[in-house]
Amino acid sequence: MNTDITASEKPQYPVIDRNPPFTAVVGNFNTLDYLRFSSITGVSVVVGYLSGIKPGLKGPSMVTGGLIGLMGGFMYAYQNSAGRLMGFFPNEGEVARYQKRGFSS
Amino acid sequence: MFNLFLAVFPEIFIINATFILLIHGVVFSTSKKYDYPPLVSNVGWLGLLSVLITLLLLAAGAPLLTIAHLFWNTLFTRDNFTYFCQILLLLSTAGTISMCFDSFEQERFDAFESIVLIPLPTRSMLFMISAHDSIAMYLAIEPQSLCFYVIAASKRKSEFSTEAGSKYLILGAFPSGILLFGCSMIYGSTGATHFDQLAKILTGYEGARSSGIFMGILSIAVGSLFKITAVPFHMWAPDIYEGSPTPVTAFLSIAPKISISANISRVFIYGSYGATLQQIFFFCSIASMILGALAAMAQTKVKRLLAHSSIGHVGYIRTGFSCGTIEGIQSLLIGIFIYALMTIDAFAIVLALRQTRVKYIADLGALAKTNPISAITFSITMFSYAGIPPLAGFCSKFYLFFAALGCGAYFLAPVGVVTSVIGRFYYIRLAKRMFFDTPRTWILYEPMDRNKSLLLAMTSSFITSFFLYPSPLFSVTHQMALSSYL
Repeated sequence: MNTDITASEKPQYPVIDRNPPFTAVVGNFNTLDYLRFSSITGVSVVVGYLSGIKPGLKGPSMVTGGLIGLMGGFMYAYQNSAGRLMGFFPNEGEVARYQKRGFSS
Repeated sequence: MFNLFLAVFPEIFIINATFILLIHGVVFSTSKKYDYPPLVSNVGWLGLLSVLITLLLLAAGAPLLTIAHLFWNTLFTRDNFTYFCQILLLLSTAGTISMCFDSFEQERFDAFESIVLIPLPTRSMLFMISAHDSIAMYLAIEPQSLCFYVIAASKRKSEFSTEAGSKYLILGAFPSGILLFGCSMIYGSTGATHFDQLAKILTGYEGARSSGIFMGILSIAVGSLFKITAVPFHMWAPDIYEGSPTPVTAFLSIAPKISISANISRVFIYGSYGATLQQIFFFCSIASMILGALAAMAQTKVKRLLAHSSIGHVGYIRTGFSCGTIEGIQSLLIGIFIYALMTIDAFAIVLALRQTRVKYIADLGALAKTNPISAITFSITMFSYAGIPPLAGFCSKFYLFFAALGCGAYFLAPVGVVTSVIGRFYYIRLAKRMFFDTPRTWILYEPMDRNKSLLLAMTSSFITSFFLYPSPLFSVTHQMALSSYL
């Protein structure tokens, strides 16, 4: 089984890490990623609450919506963060941080 | 290792969200503490949310979906063609779910499982669209089909629905077996299951030298044509579409057509293109167009008429596929896109009308007096189905027949035009009933719910205004068609 991470589309931006580990990707979450995560979670919680009013299930429905939003929001933020590290999305911040780290070491 | 799964994030999300919804539904629908609440609209909204988040993951993460293509390339491929079809599938699924809420409550149909059984086959269809291997194709078709059998029988108190589910199970298992038989024949003859390898072996193959390969290709074609309700494998469709709950019928009319059309485009145009197979598909297109036009004329029930109309439209869409050219694939994509929107529009109106007990075509009498906006919208949808300019249906058929003429199918295009003209009889008959006939029974005016109104507004606007600016869809589908060839 070939577990090489190579993509069939070439990265358009500088590659910081071709195959970043999970902790590096999560550690690379920026403000926008956290905003995406929290927005999707928040919207899902609200949808869960509103849809739970009619059957009288506000709390549990809010929790279910929150779980779905938490999972979706995390995956969306992870996707963006990993994409920036792998060079598929614009990553000026990551490049500057990498250069700064490289210069200081 | 975790990054390998970035390529399938949308599928992972939707299946996990579906399981969360299923657990939520099971726990709380049987909860004495909450007085056994009906959960259809609750699960429906959360299901709609899940589908929209999946769409976001797919659309926003497009470059990442090609990661580890060597790991996944033995099974799946991701290109622009895949993205377009997957996005269209998810939009159709979202539209179908949004139709369900009020109609299920009106009919006192309290089965949240029907909602859960919509995103579940959607995950399989996402895999099917991107499948690049016979084994992956079959592994994606089977869960999709199984969910369809169950969802067709979801209205447990209705003998029609139970009959529809039983029929679908028995009649659907048979072509699945034939399709698998075809895959095994091809593997036995060539040793290959991957479409890239099959393309090298089978493209241009005329089929006479190895009966195993010919039987294999034919069996896969038969299995796929059955699933897509193409003539002569269409007989199950009207009964099952009529017996199933109406939102389920809408889902069955739209979603499998998108996924299976995309899949067989890969199998037969990329994997095994040849003149023999092209003739088989031409025959099925012509037969579907003729039968769809003629059989629908005798129908008295609205859903059965739409089922036969769907068979006819499959014939038109097969025209683009049968050409085997880039213009053909482009016209197939345009045809499927416009067909999906028209069908969502038509079934949303049928659902709204069923709340006023409209089941037969005769019940549509004087709808224009009681509910003029619905009547006008339904008429526009029917005229678009009929291919009357300047509606979107005309543009779709025009491009399909244009592609057919471009590839030299000089018989197919005139047949398509003639069957379109014949088909106008029953579409315009509906408009005549609504505007000029007296009602057969008492009619209650009930305002349409907000979800269906919004859905109808969006789809009707597209149908009426597409001709003003069709170039975005044309350029996008052209890119998608090119990517399927590269």
